[in-house]
Amino acid sequence: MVKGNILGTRPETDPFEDTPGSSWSITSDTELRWDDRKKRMALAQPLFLVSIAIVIGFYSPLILFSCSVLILLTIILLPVLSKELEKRSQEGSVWKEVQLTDTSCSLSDDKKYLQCKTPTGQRHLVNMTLTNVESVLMGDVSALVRAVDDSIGFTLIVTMRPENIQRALDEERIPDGLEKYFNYLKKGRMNAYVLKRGGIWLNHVNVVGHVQDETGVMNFDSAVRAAIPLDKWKRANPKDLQSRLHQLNVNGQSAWFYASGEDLANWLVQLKSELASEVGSNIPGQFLAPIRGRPSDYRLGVTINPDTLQTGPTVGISHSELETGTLLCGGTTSSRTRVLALLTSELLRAGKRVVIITNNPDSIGLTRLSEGSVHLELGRDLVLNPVDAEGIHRSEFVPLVISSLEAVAAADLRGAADLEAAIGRAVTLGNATLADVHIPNGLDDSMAGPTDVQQPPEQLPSKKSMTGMEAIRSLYEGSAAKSFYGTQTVPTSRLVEPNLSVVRIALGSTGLEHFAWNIMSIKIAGLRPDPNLVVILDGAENFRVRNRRYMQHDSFTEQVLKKLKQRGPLVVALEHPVDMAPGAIATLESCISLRLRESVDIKIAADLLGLNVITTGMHTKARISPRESSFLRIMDNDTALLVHDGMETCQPVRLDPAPDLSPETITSEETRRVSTLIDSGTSSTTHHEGSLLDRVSAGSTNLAIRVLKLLERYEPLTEEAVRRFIVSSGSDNNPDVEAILARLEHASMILKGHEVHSGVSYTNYRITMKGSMALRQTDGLEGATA
Amino acid sequence: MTMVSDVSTQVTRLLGQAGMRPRGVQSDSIKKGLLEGQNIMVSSPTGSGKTLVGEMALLRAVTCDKKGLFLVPLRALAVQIFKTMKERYEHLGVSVGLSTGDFQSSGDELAEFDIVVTTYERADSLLRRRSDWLSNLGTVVIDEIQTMSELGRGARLESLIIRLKNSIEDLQIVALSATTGDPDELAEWLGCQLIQSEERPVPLVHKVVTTNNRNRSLKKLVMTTVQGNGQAIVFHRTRREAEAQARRLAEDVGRQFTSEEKKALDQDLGSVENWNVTLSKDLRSLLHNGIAYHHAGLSYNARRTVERLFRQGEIKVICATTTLAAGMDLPARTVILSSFKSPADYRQLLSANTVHQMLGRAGRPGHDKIGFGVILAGSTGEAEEAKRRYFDVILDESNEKEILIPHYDRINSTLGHAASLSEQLLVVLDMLGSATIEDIENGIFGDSFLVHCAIRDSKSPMRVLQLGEISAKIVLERHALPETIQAARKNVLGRTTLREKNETVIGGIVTSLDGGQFTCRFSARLSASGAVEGAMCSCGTPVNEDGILCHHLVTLGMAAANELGNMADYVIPLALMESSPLGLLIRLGLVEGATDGKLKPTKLGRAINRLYLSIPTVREILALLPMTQSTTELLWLLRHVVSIESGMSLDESFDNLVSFLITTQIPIRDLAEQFGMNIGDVYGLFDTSRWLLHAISVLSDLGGLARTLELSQGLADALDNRLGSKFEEDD
Repeated sequence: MVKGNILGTRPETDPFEDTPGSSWSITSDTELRWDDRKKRMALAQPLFLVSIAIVIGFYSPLILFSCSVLILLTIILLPVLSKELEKRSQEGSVWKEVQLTDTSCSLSDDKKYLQCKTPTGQRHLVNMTLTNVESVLMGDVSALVRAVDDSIGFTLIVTMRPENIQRALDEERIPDGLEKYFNYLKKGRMNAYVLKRGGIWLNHVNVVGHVQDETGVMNFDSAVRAAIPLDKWKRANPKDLQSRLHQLNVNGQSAWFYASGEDLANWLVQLKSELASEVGSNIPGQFLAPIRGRPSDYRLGVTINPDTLQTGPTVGISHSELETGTLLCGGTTSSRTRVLALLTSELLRAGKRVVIITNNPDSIGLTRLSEGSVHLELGRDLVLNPVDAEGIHRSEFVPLVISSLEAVAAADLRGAADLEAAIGRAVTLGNATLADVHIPNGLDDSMAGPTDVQQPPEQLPSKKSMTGMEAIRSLYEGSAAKSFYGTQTVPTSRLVEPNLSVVRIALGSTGLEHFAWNIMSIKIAGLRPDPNLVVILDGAENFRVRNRRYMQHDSFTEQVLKKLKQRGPLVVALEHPVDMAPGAIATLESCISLRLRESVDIKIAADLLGLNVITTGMHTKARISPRESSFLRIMDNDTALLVHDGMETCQPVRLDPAPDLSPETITSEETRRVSTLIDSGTSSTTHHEGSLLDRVSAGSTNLAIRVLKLLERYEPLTEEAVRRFIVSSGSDNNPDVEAILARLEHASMILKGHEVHSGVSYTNYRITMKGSMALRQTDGLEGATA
Repeated sequence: MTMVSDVSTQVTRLLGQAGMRPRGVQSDSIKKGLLEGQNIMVSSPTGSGKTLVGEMALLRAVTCDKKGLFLVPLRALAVQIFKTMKERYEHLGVSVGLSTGDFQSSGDELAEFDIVVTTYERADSLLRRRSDWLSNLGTVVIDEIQTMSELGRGARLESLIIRLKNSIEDLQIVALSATTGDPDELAEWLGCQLIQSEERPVPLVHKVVTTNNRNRSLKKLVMTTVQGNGQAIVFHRTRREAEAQARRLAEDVGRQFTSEEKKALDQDLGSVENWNVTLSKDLRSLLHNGIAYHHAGLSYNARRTVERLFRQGEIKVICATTTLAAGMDLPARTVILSSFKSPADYRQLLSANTVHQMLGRAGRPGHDKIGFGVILAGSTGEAEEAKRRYFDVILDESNEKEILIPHYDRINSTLGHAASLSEQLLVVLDMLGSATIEDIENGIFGDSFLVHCAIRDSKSPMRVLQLGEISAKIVLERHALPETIQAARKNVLGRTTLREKNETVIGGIVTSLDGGQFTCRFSARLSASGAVEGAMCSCGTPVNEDGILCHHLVTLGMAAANELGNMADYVIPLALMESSPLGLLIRLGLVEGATDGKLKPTKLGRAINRLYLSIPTVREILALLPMTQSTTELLWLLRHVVSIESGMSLDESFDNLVSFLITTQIPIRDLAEQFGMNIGDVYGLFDTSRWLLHAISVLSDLGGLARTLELSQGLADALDNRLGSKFEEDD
């Protein structure tokens, strides 16, 4: 049950809080409380004062009397005094008296409407009244709302007064048929009947239009008449309106709360719950436009009335919408780029960082949006290393890579154990590339000898694994090598450092692009959550899973999208929304749609944009009726539909003109930026206190030094000998042989190799360059302390 | 001239007394001047009487009052030849000696013999120890000289020949070789007259059989032979396989014997002659079925028994490992090769020469009209590979059938391998006293077969020898043709984008001039199978059979060497398994600088050289010796180095075996049984152990490690006590 308040139910947000600093001097200090109104002064307080006064009067009436006189005098003289005081202070200041108020209303020349001068310009007020209508009111509220220019609001006042039935009978207002029926009833029964049918009411409708120009006055008149086609509409006398406005003291700058026109209309829209029952889901085929823009939004354009093509306030999407995921669909490549460019420039202005992954061949133009932007092309400046987990946990990363690989292998790779193990090994290596992915070759074993035919067949890698390996080989040996083979030139964490990075993915084959997009998405999803980094995926090939052979990618893309969303703000741009998996679409909560042509696309978009109304009849199945979904087909290129913050309906937007995106000739400055990005990625050395060995060996530094020194002299030394050495030289009891070797090897201070003696293969260790450097560093440190 | 004719008549007389007359290749070599001291090389199939050529040459030396040395690759072969020669010539006043193993002894006692039969390694050890009597050598016979192609021992043999030629004047070299490709190249290097013979006593038919069930096909082949009253030898890759196959065939083979044959066989096995032969139960029961297995794990006597029975025709089938291949004269009608993968490493295939040496046994003179050499292949691809590698295929026009003509590998020098080079560098330095690297490269090694071939071969790399410092560019030169290197230097092979550069891998994309794109990398990482990944290129043949890199890799390597400097110098040699021989020797303290930029071996280096230790063994011993303070640790070290030298993987039971041997009096045979080892292996291990213990004690003495010296000497003495007499009896 909604709690009753004097101004109706409490709106979700206090409209005053985000009112822009308008010239209407509205103060938020209104004394108005929505539901926590306080009672003034408890009764005890005045009683106490009175009793004190009585006591004082009892003992010394003179004091009381003189006090009363003093108070009375003060009250009487106060206006005069204050006026005098104010006058004096005004005279002392530089203030000048302005004779004219900032808002004034006067009759128009033809005396048919009111002209209002407001600080924001001239307005025209027109008042229409409707009295003495029939009991049945035929009208089309929606047509009224659509036809009336409500950009600065209008007032609709419906007055209802209960009418005495006897008087109504006397004044012959009851239809004859009913009157006859009443005649058969007794008085008590008649009242009961009337009460049961809802009572008899005296109605009066008063509409005040608030229009911007003179032609609007006539439009308003006709709009109202057209919406409610009754001839009893009358243009009220503007003088009455003027006097009523005068009564309201519009002219005076008093501290009264008032809201008229625009603000009141805003209220109406803001009060969603109220509106819903009247204009909400029952209005067929309508768009709802907000009455005013939100300044904190990233502006994309202005609202437009699709019927009248009148433009309204600015519209954009908010940061929270980006955080819940935004889908940009439809349109042509250039129109999508326009939206993205608008959004990006707004984001940059707001101090966010943006990374755009795109397949757009003209993507280089986007770098015009920011001074410090970088443009990288996969395969040219950027190498994407699919076995570099970049901080993502292996158990999470490897399955994702395998799923991505399915696009390249064009086969289902689930359950390819050997493949998974091989990729896992490569990922663990740390500095591995695709060429390090190997399945231990079991093929040779099968040919080893005649008696080995009983060899268990599960030793062989499965067919799936082999297919996967083929795919991997094609990635580093085929034409894709330029994109995927090698250490990652720019780690993803560095890629997102500039305020705008544009990465272009164009590999020529859908399979490869799919893979590239997947890996890119996985890596970006693995970044630390950062609300100030906005990821824009423009034309994400990997989310296009319609009619593909690997249908299990439905859930895969959904999973990837969810991870991307968890990371932070996300925009996915795709021409055909229907290409996406349904689950994936559901993860994106807001949508900007450009023109769509295919009916399948429209079906999806209509759902997203709230253009379908689902009415649930009591006894019938749910029905879906389209609103203006056909509008999607015929929209102009510069128009978009936008759905916002989970609102039920969407708004048409006229997009702002696109920023200049014509590609410049590449400056040396930009090449420098790219090259620093690439170079600094490879030479990221961290400096820590203490020697490298101390950190690597985790406590057993001495032992590590001894091992390194041994190897420095006797490398390559067989693994057995090194182990023996550690065991027998460890003065500390029970040295952890495995640990020390594993640590040193992992820190690439020692390198495993193999040697063959008389046909037997031995594993050996040798010291690496890094190992000798660490040793030298330790020696240096010791020398310094000595 | 009278002298010469005198010698030749004397030799002919001696031969006549021994009951032999020269024929075939023997008379050819005499014609070419064998008895006048001419260097001769004979290349002919097994069974053509090569050994006798060697014997004649040795007799010539003896008649000239010089000594003769007969070198063979295997100890068993040495024993066989020693016995034959002793039988033939000892009563004629020619003393024949035998020396195998025993690298720890100086070999002075061999001075009393006119002819010494020995293995390559022992001869090398003798030469390194500079035994006095070697200067009196007149003739060296090198049997099975094609062994020079083998990794490891090939380099030692080559170095031995170079040093023999260098240090002994007027030395006659007689090289005996099975059929190989391009024998004239080797003959030219040796300075020998070449005598070539393709003549076989029995014609041979080769066949490659594709089967998906090796066991069944093998059985069919064997049984067909046996039913036709022929004999068969089946070669296997491993001992286990050989034994298993013998057991599998036993029943079927046994069924083919008539009761008389069986009785004769049983009688022979139970005869007095075989009383002292230890045959395992398993083998004995197989022998009763007329089948046997044969490998180095059997005791010496058991092997000889098996061979004798086979020669007498009492057993029909031998399942053998490749040890039977070299030298032994043991023909059979059908020879089957069940797998042509190398025993040491299944990823490598046997060389053509080895394969043909095995198959060449097919056809027993006097018994068979035709011999069959069969290779079993598991798949069509494998069969094609076998045909491609080992045969020239000719299509017989009359019946559209393929005729396989054996195709032999040429003999390649293995001296250039980094592992061998460091050892040989030390050997040469010890021989010369002191020398500069350039002297050695151009002097002694300049005379090597390696350089000899490289000069004549247009496909040899730009640089064949590298003893000193090593860098990425030098390594590339070691693995690329001169033209490729020139082109790469001029940067005309293609563009390179380096994509990987870290401590272990250098990789990149090479875009060749025609736009082709290749992914190449040098990786020093270990692959999952335990081998270094090495060079990889997406063109498919990163390294060809001669070890030459494809030109994409050369391009990458050059670019990396220019761009990355030190890192490339580190990674690329590692990836190509190259290291600086000199660097290693200096690091281990075996070589030091002398005056005038010369190098000389240290005291340690000289000792090691004479101990005949391989460099990896030295490295392991030196690294661990200071840590060896107790018997357990010493035993561990011993086990480790024994397994490196012998190529057997040993576990803790070796330690126990040695302790048992020293502390108890249980006969070795019983010990072997108790530990589940083959008696032949156990003797081999003890022999190696004695030598290495001796080496350890010498090294600890040099290093001043009293405790280790004491321990190792004690152990060595104990071993000597237990084993001293045993060896003689067994041989």
